[in-house]
Amino acid sequence: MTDDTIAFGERLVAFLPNLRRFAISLCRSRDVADDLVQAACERALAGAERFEEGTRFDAWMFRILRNLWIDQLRRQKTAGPTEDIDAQAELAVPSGEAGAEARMALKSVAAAIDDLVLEQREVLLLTCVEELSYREAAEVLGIPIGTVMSRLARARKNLAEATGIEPAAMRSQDMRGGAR
Amino acid sequence: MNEIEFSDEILMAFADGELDEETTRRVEAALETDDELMARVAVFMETRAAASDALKPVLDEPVPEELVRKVRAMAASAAATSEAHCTETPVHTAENVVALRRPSDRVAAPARIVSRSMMAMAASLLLVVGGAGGYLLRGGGPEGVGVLQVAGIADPRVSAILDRAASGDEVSIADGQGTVRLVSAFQVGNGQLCREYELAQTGLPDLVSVACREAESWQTRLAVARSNGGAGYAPASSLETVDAYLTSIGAGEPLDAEAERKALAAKK
Repeated sequence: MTDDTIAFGERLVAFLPNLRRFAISLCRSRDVADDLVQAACERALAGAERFEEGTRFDAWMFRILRNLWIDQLRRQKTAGPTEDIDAQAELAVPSGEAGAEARMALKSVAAAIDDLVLEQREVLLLTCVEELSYREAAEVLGIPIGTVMSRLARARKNLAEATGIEPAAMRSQDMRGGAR
Repeated sequence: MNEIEFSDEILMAFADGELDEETTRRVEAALETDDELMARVAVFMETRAAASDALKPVLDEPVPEELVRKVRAMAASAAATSEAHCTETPVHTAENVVALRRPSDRVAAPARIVSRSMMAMAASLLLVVGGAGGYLLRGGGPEGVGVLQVAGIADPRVSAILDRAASGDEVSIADGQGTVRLVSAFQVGNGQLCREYELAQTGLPDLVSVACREAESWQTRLAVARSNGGAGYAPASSLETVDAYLTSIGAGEPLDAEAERKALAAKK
């Protein structure tokens, strides 16, 4: 029993990079994200027995973290209009060998994701970045699968528009990711 | 030529490999002759790859050691706690939790995807108490003091506050015997307006409540005693219960101040 809890803790630790990435994109601040991740881990540990083996651990954790965040947003409203969550994006920009051009292009994608409204951003993160299925994302978000699809389609069209991924320009380009 | 219209959702599902076989075949057939369609599909392929690439670097960042340390410490502490609890009966904190749900809710609830484990969590935490006499908080402090006590229909004074106070406000009731602190307003799936608020009353445990607006009054749906559990790892906190409940009723995001004002003003 107690060994299980320790093992569960290690499983959490192994999952921290993904959980943190999701949190950072969700709340657009690393500091807030780390607190959120910690709180999510605390809840997960307190409710470890509710996790059903055989279901996706990542989806379960994302749901806990996301619910905490929504809850925090609700409560933040009580603090008045000082809401700082839209403050500044600090998403990673690739460094090192990546050329300046590539860096700018990627930065603009990250920035465009950041600019999406929360309901589009979260669904994009879960499916396209964390690779959950529509159904799994629907469960994490507690919404119907049809809603996942309509939000996700809108999110991606907005992203395409903001970053200059145009249908016409696509024909000549190579289609990486086409095999998915 | 073959003018079959495919929605963005269908083309996206095709790009993501989430489409059923038959529709996949239809899209593939259309793609053979339709460049424009191909371009639309490509947008979805490309945005997926772009989003994934753009956020990949975050995964390679080292996780702050402090965070790892804290998670390990919490696991160790939880392990110790669960050991201590092993000899006792399984803890289910139903004692301080009451769900207030009118029978009609069950009929009205549209099909919603809520994960089974989430529902199980809510069910294990919520004690549903029925009866025409209203709903009383079990173990909720001295009887008879409960002028403002939670019932199916919120106390008129609380109702009046829910009707007009903005989220963030704190309003006192009953000559200072209690206060209502408005947390948020939001809509549920069917468009009904609901509010989360905290109710503090002398001689009673603080409650976190969710009430939804009916024709004439506010109907309390959930009231959870706020756990003042300090630093311990309670099996489930009251706020987690509220979260689970809000998720289960399909609560939307909190309305912003402007939308809230409008929604409150729009009497049904």
